[in-house]
Amino acid sequence: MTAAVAISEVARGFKPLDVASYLRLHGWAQQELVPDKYAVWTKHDNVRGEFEVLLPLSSTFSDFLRRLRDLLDTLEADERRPVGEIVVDMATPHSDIIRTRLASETSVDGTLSLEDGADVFQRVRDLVLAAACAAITPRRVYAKRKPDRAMAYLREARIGQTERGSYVVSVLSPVPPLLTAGAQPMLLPGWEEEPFSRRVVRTLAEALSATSEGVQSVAASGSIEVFSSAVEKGVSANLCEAIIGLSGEGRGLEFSFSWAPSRGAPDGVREVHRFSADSRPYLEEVSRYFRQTSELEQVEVFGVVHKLEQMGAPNVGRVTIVGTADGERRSVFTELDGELHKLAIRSYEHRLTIACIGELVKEGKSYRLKNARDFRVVEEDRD
Amino acid sequence: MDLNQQKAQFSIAYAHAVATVAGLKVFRCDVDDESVDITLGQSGGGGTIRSPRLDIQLKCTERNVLRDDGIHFPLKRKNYDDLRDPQLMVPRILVVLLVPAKLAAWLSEIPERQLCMHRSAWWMSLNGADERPDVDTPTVVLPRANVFNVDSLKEIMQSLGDRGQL
Repeated sequence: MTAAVAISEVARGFKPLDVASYLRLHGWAQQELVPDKYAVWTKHDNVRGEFEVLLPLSSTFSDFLRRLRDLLDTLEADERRPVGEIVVDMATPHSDIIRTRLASETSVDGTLSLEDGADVFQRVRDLVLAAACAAITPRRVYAKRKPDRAMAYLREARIGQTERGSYVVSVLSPVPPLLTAGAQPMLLPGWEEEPFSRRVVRTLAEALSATSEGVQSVAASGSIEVFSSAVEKGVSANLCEAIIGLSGEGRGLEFSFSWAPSRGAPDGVREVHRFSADSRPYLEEVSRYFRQTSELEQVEVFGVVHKLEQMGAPNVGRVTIVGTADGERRSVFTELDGELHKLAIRSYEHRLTIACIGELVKEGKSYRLKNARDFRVVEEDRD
Repeated sequence: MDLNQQKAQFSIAYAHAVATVAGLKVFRCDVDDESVDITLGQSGGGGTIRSPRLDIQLKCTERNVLRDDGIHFPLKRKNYDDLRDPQLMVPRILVVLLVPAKLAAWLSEIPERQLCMHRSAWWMSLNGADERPDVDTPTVVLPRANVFNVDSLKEIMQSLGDRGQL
């Protein structure tokens, strides 16, 4: 977005309150209010000195566009980022914004190949989904079937217009404004202090932070152990794989966060996270480590019982199902008894496809399905 | 560069010189269709602008417009209306620079001693002036006492800082 376009964006339906909350979030303080005219806001920077902007309270001034330009010029100088980004943040006071910036050398003229572009959007979705799952329960790996709340969040979040400057995909995550009663945040029974959408975005920021620091540490020490504790911060195999996918054939990535002015920024969260192209082998190894050392929860298994092994007592046996588990072709074993064991025998004898859910864990070269449940017959044998 | 461009550039240089010595920064803006050439202000963080601020419309002429009571200068209707507009956030003044007829005389030099800009500029605020609908190019009179120099500019800024009128 050029400066001229940015000005007309803000000028159209000018909302001084939105700009004011933007300024407040970015460390500005209102010093003076000239009623019906303008407000004077300042921001102190120890190194660069005092910044000041005049915020017009209405767009009816004859020199309104010029004053808006002064304001945006000043914000651009203060924040050292393109005015286009500032304007987008200003226009969405009730959304957190996650920006994924692909390093410029791969996006010639600010464009991507159609194939690459489609993949980038898919990977951004995977990245946000991994954070949404982690915001519910941190795990090393998430199965293909995701919690309903995480899927519902994907429908709430929006993809913004792509922004110029390398290639930038922005995700807007709507969040309610933070309202306070006096000096205290509202404390009511059942009041969730942090809305889920904010928790997702904060988790993503923290997870990316833990990932980039973890990669540095792994590269320096050769030990992957640091990533075990990173899981609590939201790092998962799925998150690492989304980053790997976004880095494509070796491009650098930058993730940045803009917090909804109406809610303010969470404490202690970094706003920019960078991954150089050489992070990739480490991320691949972390993802492999997570997948091999964890159980997948709520995995769906489809298939036919291929093998039955008696285990002492009647109607108890080890059952091997051949088919798909979590969408991958696999053979999976589990122990069943009683009616479920009888169902397994029917499947074995009549080649019935059955489905169930359980926790998948790798044991040696095989996969065990723990706590197998919710059995049903998917397809009766046609013979 | 044609003569008009030279006049525009020279008037900016003149105002820039006066503003600099008065301790102010000059900002130029590419939104230029509203009769403002430069904005003066205090220097803020990262090279930005701070209050008090002043917008200036610059004019430059080699014609003999100096009378006993001041500079008689005809303005285009749009400039006149923009300058007298009471709906402004930042005050605006008109500055008219008189230059010698010959380009070579705009600057004079004594080597190693001085470089002088000729000849002088005057200022006025047209805030709230009458519409004068019957004239296409209203002539305004910049009072002879209103010389635009370092001292007068400092006074203008002082008065704006105290939220006074010009």
